[in-house]
Amino acid sequence: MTTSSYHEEEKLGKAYDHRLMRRLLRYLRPYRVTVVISVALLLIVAGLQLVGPYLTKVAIDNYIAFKNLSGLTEIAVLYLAVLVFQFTVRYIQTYIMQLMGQKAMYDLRMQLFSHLQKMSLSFFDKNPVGRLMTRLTSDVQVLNQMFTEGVVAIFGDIFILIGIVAVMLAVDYRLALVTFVTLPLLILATAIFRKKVRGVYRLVRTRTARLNAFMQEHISGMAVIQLFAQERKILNDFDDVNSSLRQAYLKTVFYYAIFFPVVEVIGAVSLGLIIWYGGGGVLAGSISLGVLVAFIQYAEMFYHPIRDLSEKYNILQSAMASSERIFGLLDTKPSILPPERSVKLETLKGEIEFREVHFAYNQGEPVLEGVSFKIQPGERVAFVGATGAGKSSIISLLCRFYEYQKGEILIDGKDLRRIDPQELRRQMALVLQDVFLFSGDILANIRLGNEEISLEKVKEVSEYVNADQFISSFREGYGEPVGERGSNLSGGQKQLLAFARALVFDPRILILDEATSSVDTETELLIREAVGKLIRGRTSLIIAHRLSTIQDCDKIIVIHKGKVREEGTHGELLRKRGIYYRLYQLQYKDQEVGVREQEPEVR
Amino acid sequence: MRAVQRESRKLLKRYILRYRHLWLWGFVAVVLTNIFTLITPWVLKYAIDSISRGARTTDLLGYAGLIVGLAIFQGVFRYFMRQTMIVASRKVEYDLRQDFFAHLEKLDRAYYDRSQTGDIMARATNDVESVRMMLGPGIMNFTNTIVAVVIGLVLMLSLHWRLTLYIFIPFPVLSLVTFLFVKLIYPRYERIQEQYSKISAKAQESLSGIRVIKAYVQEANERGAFRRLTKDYIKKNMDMIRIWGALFPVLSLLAGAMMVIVILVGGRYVIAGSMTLGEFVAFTAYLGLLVWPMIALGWVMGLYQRGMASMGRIIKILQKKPLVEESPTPAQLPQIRGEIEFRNLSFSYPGAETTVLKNITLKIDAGQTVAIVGSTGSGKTTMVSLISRVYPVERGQLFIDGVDINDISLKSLRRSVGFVPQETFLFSDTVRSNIAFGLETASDLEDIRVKARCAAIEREILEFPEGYQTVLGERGITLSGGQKQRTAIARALMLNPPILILDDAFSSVDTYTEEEILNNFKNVFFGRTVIVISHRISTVRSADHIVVLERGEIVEQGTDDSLVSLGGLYSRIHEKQLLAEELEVIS
Repeated sequence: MTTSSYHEEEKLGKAYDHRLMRRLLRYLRPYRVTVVISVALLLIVAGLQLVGPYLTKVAIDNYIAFKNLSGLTEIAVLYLAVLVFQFTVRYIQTYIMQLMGQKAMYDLRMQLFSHLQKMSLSFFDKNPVGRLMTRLTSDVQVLNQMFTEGVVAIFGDIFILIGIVAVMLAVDYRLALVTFVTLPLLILATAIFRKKVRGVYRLVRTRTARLNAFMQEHISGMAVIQLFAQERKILNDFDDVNSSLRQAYLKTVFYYAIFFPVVEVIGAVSLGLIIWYGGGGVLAGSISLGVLVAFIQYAEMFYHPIRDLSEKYNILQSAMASSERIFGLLDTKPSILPPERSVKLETLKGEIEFREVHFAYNQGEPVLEGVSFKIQPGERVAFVGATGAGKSSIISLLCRFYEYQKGEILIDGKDLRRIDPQELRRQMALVLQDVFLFSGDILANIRLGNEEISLEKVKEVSEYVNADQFISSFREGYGEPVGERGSNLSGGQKQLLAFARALVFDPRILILDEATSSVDTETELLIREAVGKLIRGRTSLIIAHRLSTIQDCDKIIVIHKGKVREEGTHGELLRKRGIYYRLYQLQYKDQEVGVREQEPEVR
Repeated sequence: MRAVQRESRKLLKRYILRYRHLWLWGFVAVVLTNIFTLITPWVLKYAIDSISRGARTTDLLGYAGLIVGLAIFQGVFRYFMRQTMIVASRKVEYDLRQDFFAHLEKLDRAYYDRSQTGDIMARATNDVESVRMMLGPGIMNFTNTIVAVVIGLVLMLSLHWRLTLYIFIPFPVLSLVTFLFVKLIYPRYERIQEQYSKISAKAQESLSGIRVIKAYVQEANERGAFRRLTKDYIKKNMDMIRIWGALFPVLSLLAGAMMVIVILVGGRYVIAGSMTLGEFVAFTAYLGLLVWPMIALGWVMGLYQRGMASMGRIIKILQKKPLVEESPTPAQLPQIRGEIEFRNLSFSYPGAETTVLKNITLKIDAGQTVAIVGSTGSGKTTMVSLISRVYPVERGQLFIDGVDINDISLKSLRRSVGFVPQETFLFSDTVRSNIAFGLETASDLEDIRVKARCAAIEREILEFPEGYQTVLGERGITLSGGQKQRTAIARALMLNPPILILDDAFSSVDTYTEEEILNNFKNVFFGRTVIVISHRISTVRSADHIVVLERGEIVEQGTDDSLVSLGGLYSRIHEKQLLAEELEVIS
């Protein structure tokens, strides 16, 4: 699975895509004032850069030629002033440009994050967290580079090019035209280079994708490689992939190695033309020495932006790939949207009804096939069934994590599809087998982000569900930090903590997926007692793995192969000697294998 | 931190030395390129001076030709400069990646249990790339700047030493500024990286915990937390940019200041007659040529910063030592008989406190079939994994053919153990290559077919349009769980291993097929040691010896009959199994 996802990730995009670019630039719209200012400042910088050679010209023609010392000093001071001004403008420009890039990146990242939060769980089943992380982190980062270094710098380079051409034409258009004789040559060289490099970069991209896919796959399958002692063979295979990528890169090196010298030589031809034609002009008296010198300097300046521009190609290309992936994610619509006109949800009574509900995670593999049942407010209901019978799916549908294909689910008589999922979840609490802990302290893990809940309240609830005892034993009590995977808590402690978390929100409907993992007898007793307290006075749905909880339930619903097969109290169902009877015996065995409790009296 | 940097430098030095001839020739090319580049202003000097004196146009043509000629020479060497230095960096990149992957192959299961593929990938791709940037464009531009400044200085001194001294007044400031920037930027860069990790960690948490977050309607709070981190990230970035953003402007300012000095002081010399106008122009040309290399220095610093940080991240993995290592004097056991003995073995996972296996004593004779049963988490998988020595085993606790497992060469051990793991992992390659995965040499199709038949998968393989050449995964056919498991069984059989381990290898295979495979084993696989982990009593039943594990201890052992009559854990599992089978039939 992991391997295929990687392939898909490295799909080959175009080097430059107009549509993507336009969409990217939309992120700069909130900062258009900044962009305008920034571009204006860049114009100023470019303009100021052009002043230098001109001042040199003035110095030579007007002062050095006439031996005017004070004038020379004036020019020098002016030059210095220009430099300082240029420094200031440049710094400000860089600063606001970067700030804008950071903000745009922030916007994009937040948009992406919020978007991911809206996705339903079927999305997360299909997309590994690692991949989504890459979108949120490095892909966004690449775009920042494009915003700050790519787009704007390209503007800057183009301004300078235009500026140089303009100034040269203004100062002496004949000399300028002679200088530009080489321009077609330059354009031709650049065009050939771009064509060649584009082809090679395509090669680089395919081979990079192959390398990444190879690594991804073989790191995931390292266990198998080692078990079969195939390290050498795989290393050889990797060598093939790795060296073919190197090969492709060496081709790009070759083209760059040719291109840059060619540009230099073309530049030198321009310089030669200036010396020959310009020098001739000076001799004939039609061109001043200062102009000649200024032209020499301008010609030198002209070729740097050209080189720069060809380097920008890289940045642009990776930005296109990243933005394509990001937009692909943003364009994936969540399968469950809050209803447009949702029904107002009062405090729930807690009545739940399923009417012929059909559901499948994947098309063609039905999990629920026409499930119907009704739960009265305040009832305690247990769901039992073999693994894979569909118990968890019922809960997931009720929490509105997945969209169901057919049938109706009613909460207090209202259609679930017309209730805002968030409104609903506020009145429900879900305790899962595998307790997820956030990095932070215990307090934060119980009340989650809801800081209105006081420490006292948390303590009270924790005490009630038998969690206070172990929490207080920590050095920092409720302030004790919890590790990423909650490694400093035992399985049973995590369960108790999850109970406290559920109860502190005082839900109208409680959903409990009991943990199957075996815990020590003492904790087991604590948990059992806590569950009893937890379900008191609210509609409770329990996926039961423990006999004791089932027996007290008002109703037991037996799910078998995606259908409700039996319904009734513990006693009734046992007497029926049907599926429940067998399941009961099965679970009873489990129980014995796991916890070794006393035999229950009902038998 | 220091130690990591030292290690990084040491390793980089090794890689660079490996291609020293390339870098040396590259250096020669840099010097020659710069010589030819920096002669051009001299030509300008003569050209301008002769123009001022009223030269002939043919002279001008000569100068122009000279300039172009120099540029051609310069271009040739510039070509070599890239073809040596950048090529070398690409070669190091390849080597580094190769060594990195080879090291990954050495790291053991304990490492992979704790690390994420994505993180390793990031190092192998992004980090290797920034190291490459440091070594390629980084070193090239750095040498170019130094050489250009030195040669430029020499030529300028010989042109007019007094003006040169004036020009280089800002130079100490320039060095100081550069030095200061390095100092200021490093901690800021690190703070950014830290914040970046925090953002990644938060994203990871929010995405993995999405179920809880949705269930407790914590989206807004999570968003808030993420927003705070991201905002802070802006701040930390701007702290950096405040400094970094000044670097290029400062460098251009200083370079520009040199030009002002040329105009101010050089102009005076020209007026005073101690310098020709040609020399004046040559100076302006020199500065024009030196500005870019000097500004490139700032860029190089960034590359260095990033490259070293990345190298540190790579080194951290390269320095990880596998816990399972080849013994210094490994015993080659070409013909393992298949006798396995656990002698009072206890085991806990590296770095964890809980004991997973406690005082396991068990002798498995060569050719025996042994079944291991027990509930989830009782230590079954751990126990059989140790036979392949994927985790470290203490000396004197586990023996194969009477030899301590730590003394057997890893390769000969693993090639003697056919292991079918719980979770099947197949490669996106042809069915044929997947089955022949464990073979050193080219595989014989007939042999593959025998093994595939034995694993009861051949019929299905032949139904694929491409048969054994069918590519699995991506563009090929996706196998069902049971087909995958049977392919993995065939893969293990390919080794003709004296020891075969089946870790719950039939979980997705129906009982009928399972029986068929087990029967095939009896015929084809006679006389080999087989260890089976299973939840199915039907599988376990026929074993010569059954071991019941609970919480890492052997609680019962014996044959099916003896264990059933014992009335213990096994008999209850036995009963439960029958019930479950009954339930399966109801529909």
